[in-house]
Amino acid sequence: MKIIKGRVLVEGYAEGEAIVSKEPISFLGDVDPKTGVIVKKDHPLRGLSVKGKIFVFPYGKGSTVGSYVIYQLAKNNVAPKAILNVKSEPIIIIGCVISEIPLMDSFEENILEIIKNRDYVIVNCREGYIIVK
Amino acid sequence: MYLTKEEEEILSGEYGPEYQKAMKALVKLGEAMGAKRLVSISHAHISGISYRNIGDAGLEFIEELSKVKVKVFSTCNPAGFDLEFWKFLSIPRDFFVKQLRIINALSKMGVKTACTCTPYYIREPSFGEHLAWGESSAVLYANTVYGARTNREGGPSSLFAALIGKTPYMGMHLSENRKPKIMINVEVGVEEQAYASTLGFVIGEVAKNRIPYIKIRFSSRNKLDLVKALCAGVGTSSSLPMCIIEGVSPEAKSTDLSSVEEKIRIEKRDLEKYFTKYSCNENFDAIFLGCPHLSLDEVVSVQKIVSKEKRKVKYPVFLAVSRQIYSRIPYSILEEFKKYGIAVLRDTCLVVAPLNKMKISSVATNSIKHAYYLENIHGVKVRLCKTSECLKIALGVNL
Repeated sequence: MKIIKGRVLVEGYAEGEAIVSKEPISFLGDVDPKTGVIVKKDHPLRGLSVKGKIFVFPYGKGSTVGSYVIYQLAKNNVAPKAILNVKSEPIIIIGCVISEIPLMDSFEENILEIIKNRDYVIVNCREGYIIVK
Repeated sequence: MYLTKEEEEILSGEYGPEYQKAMKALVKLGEAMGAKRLVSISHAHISGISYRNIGDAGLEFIEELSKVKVKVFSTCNPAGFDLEFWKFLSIPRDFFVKQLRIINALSKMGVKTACTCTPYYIREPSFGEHLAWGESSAVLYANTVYGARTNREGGPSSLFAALIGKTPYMGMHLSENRKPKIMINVEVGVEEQAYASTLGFVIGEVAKNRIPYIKIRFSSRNKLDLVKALCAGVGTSSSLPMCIIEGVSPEAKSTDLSSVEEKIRIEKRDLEKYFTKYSCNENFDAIFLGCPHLSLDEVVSVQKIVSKEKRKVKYPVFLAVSRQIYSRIPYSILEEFKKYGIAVLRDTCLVVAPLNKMKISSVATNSIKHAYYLENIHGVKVRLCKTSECLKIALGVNL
């Protein structure tokens, strides 16, 4: 078990299995808004869904329509329970704010090396830490 | 972040839940990105309004906010079809109705719903003015050509900025972030849109997130049309909000080049590979010109070519313009286009249209931005070529 402190961007609490992308994510194009499945060609996680997961990736990229894709995921009940970034940028921040998805970034250690796929993660976006089991 | 008394009141919900939602998002964004306060803007340009891209959730989101009005002059990006011409484009009824609901909601909020990616043809920004614009090509054009100040806003953040009349004071709004980090010498004369946009794409790839200082020779009288194409290319391959172009950008003369870390050259062969990449050569479902939306000069140059030939086009030709430019096209030119089978579209472009339903699967265009998104988002086969070659293909002649 490991506790890592980070910065809270959107408050909340979540726990669940992690899904970890080492590559930045462009929500428009990479993730199907109806199912939450990662559809990007050649992506190591292609075919897996972010639904109900703790979605870990370095940062967002691509079209700013990505914020609306995050919102569509939430409305379609296929959104991740929380998002953890190395460093969040405006597409992800705005997407999580309007969708009320807990969001943290700027951790004291490299989450991409510590958190593995299917690890159980507790996200405390009130007090600003995560627990990786 | 420092907030004025009024901003605090909006945040606490005294002006209603819609303004509260907008303020909360702007404050969260500003705090996350290290802004110290908000800054007043004079024009918001709202992107992310095509039903093709934002779906039912985006539609509901905008409708929920439409009970209140925007605080500043606001325009919006292209929609899924020409609002007056949609029936001829095989747009499905459901798509039409939902797109119209998005437009009506924006209109109710007081947004000027002439849907275009060229808001600078509607209202020209002035030097140093603060804006909150979505649409990457327009953001680049505003910072680069006018010396106005805007970040690359997203759909929701540009809408929130329109409702509040302010945006977080950060990024491109601050002089210290408008310094060049890379010097680019362009060693190929640029005289035409396809090459200008491809040059922009290459600049975005090499500069990445470093603002480039560009030395370039434009061999055309319509320099700004080429800069417009270049900006669209830069915005496609990078997240850059601005370039500084010698002889174009008002900030170029006073730019201190001591911040430049690297110098590179771009030659003709750096551009050629993209023409090989997008070299579909078959029957075309559409020839598209107008990414970004055409200026009046660009429309007239198309007319000059087709009027020499005086024949009907072999493949459907679409020109895309804003309503402002459309209203300035002489009637005789519109009649001539009609006679030869050239459609002039307003409010839209092929990237935001439901192409699969319109049965369009191969396109020739002079814009690398269109080539890139048509292939990546719509799976369309593309030929990227000069404006004159696009028309040559359309007319089936040697020009």
